Amino acid sequence: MHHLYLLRLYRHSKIGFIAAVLFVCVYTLLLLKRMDMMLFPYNAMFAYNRSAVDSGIVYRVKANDQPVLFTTFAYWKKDLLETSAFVYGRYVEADRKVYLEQYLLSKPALFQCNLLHALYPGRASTAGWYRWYAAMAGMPGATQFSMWKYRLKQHNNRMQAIDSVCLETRILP
Amino acid sequence: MIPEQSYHADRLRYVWLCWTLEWIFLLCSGVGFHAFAGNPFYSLGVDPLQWLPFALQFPQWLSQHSWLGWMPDIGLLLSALWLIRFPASQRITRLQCIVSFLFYCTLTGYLGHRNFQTGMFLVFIPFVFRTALNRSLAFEALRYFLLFFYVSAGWFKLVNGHLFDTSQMHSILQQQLLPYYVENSSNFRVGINQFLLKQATLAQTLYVLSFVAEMAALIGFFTRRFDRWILLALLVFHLCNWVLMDIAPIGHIAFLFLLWISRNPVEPGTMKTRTGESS
Repeated sequence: MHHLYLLRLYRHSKIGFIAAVLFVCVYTLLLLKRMDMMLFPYNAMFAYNRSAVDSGIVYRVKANDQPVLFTTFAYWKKDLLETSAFVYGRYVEADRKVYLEQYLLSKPALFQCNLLHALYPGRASTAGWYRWYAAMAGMPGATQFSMWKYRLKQHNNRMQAIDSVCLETRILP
Repeated sequence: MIPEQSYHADRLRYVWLCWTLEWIFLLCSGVGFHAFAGNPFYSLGVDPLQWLPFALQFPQWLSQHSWLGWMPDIGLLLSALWLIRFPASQRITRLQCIVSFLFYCTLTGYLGHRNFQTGMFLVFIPFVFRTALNRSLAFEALRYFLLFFYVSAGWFKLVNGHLFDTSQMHSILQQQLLPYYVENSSNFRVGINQFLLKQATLAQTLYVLSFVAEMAALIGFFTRRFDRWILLALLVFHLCNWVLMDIAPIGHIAFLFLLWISRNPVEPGTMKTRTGESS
């Protein structure tokens, strides 16, 4: 019994004990409420239901009419280019609202204080993202950009694009 | 009573070595604070911890110029090298913890998603404490959190009823490598993906094996004797994840290595005093 971690922690530090118990309680509550991305997001690692989905979506940027390719880059750069294109594509589709803004708008008015606006990027400046993205992928100096959404479905054990749509085009000086 | 120390302090430098190698890999692949220069777009999650630096406009300020980003990038590298030489250096560990936390917030803010980046700064937390006993207890708490990280993922796989539903892994495989398909890539990863798309039962078996690896961490809640075996299981799990799913654990391995320095209670080694270093 005297080996129990929380008991040892209690004996050594009451503050540490309270902090640990509080952390466990808050974390348990968040998990029970399915708010698992709230605090030190843990990562469910494909534990949530995917079986209902049979197709996939990819967002792709074209710079000066050339697709921006990224899968041959080293892992972190590939991940950055892949994910930021996905998130920016979703942002364009959602009438230029980031995820957090959409999330808080779905909550009671209590959560919509002006202070939170500092947590969203300025809408007027976000188009500059295309220039950053193209430069990051080794295509600096491009001036015409477009965001494309592809839908893929499995065909003969291979995923194939079945349609694509241009979400927006931008010309940046 | 003389309390035992919960980790091998003499092995700590290898954890920092691992962290340094991960950071070098990250910089070499073209990512770091400097990579966000000129990027005006970010999308935060619902984690209030992540909001703080953005509310203070720190990442936005840092992304104004590339050289501003290079300063913390180089700083983190030099501090990490310092920690390899002097693993118990408390001030440097604290600094490293703060800057890597800011990097975690900045990276996930600009990425707009997370997978294994949390470990990048969590690994420093036990070692920011002044006394050996505080460090030892904080190490234990973090070790439990690490174990929980995996056990909860396994638990949710179980309760959501996906273990024997072959369409689950099939669907994951369909969606995981889509950018490669759009780019008409034909590398080995795509080849494996195509093979597994044909073999739904085999693919689901891999899903079940990942569940077993995650649930292996449950043993760690009862004994520290098998920590290195748990580490091995988790490393194999991450390696397979990297090959099959293209999700690399780089940035997370040093955190996992806490299991390697974890001390089994039956091993020799106790602390001399409540404030001193381990014997």
